[in-house]
Amino acid sequence: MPIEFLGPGGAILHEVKGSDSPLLEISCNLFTGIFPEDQRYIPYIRACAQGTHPSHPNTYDHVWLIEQGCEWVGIRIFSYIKTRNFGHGAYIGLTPKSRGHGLGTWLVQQTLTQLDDDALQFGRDGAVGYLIEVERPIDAETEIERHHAEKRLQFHRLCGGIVLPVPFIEPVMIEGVDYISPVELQAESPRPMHLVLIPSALGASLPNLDLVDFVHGLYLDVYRLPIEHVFVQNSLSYLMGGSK
Amino acid sequence: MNIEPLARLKTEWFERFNRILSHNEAIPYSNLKCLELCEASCCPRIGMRQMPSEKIASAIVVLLPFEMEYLIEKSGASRTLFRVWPVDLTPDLRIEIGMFDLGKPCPFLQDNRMCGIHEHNPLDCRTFPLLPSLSPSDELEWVLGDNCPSLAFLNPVFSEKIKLIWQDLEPALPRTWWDLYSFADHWTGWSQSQPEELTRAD
Repeated sequence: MPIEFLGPGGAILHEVKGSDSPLLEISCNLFTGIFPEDQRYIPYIRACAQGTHPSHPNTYDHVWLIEQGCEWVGIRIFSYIKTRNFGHGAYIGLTPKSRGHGLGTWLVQQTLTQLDDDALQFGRDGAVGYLIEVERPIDAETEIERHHAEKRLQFHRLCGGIVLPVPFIEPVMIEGVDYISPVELQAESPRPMHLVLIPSALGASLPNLDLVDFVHGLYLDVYRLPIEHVFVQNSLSYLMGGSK
Repeated sequence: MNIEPLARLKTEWFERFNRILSHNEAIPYSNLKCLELCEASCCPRIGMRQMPSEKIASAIVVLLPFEMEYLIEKSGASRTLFRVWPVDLTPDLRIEIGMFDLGKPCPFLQDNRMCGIHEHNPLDCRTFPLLPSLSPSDELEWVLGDNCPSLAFLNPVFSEKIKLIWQDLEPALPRTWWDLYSFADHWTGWSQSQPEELTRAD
């Protein structure tokens, strides 16, 4: 099934490809507007726009921009994990006035389609879906934050998302990247998150999902943590051995 | 770990289980022909699914919060018989949910296919072939487990009573418990490198 470049309300999907793309600066500006607290990750977006980047050896990355009514209203950043049959959704963001009109659901569908294409390109039969890290409502510090976290989680559930029953700590950044130094991220801390699978039609049809593969795919291949890292061990400890 | 809230929650859940069990006699007979038509099709045990041993699946019975502790207290069973899975209620408060799956099959299933703890068996077992779930908009929904051989005999009055029990419990169940519960049937549970001896019951 081909990607639908035209979406609800006249939305248009633009692929941002290459470091010299004129859409890259627009992407970075829009990202800053939608995710002001994540501004330090702008170099990550620039890296993802290259598709393949030496600091991301196991992923094939995508940056999409959404235009609607001559305005830039959305950004999508995700990757296919070349070593697995699933992807990783890093960011999906829409400007406030463009939310609630079906753009998010459309973007999720197009992401799944793109990942299926990527899977075929990398010699797989198809992608089972993609993983996302979603803030846990229980970690919210205010009632408003908790409400927003619940709304985000509900959106993903409505898109068919399956909350995977593994304790998951989101690392601050991919290990060893050459575009952000550890000093720039020293104020950041790893955060507990829900790990959610957005299944494709193929993924939703599977009678069993391989949790170990998901955890390894994200931690080892995307974040490039060593298998003995405490995050990896903690995630799988219940699965492998029962109680810690 | 906060011991005090945990102790309070445990007491609350134990009271719920006592209440449910004390009302047991008021629950009409399910009319399921478990012994006549079935060989414990819904009880977690090795061989219940046609899967290669390295793909042992899956969580079959998911206990309610503190139901494992309740069963341990009532039956004297060891905690090692259960698979446990974490559910975080707050950043500082984690409870462990007991389960039976093919990696840790039901220790109470007897050779004659009877349940060794029938008088206080888990609510999940008693509820089958009714399968509850929580919708994205937090509504309790029900489907029927179509692998139950005596589904056609299921007493609708029994179904209504069971649904009422779950409706009463639902406000006390954390959303993360429902996530775990709904994932149960998708759960591979073991990597291919899992040692074979761990795939049988302790």
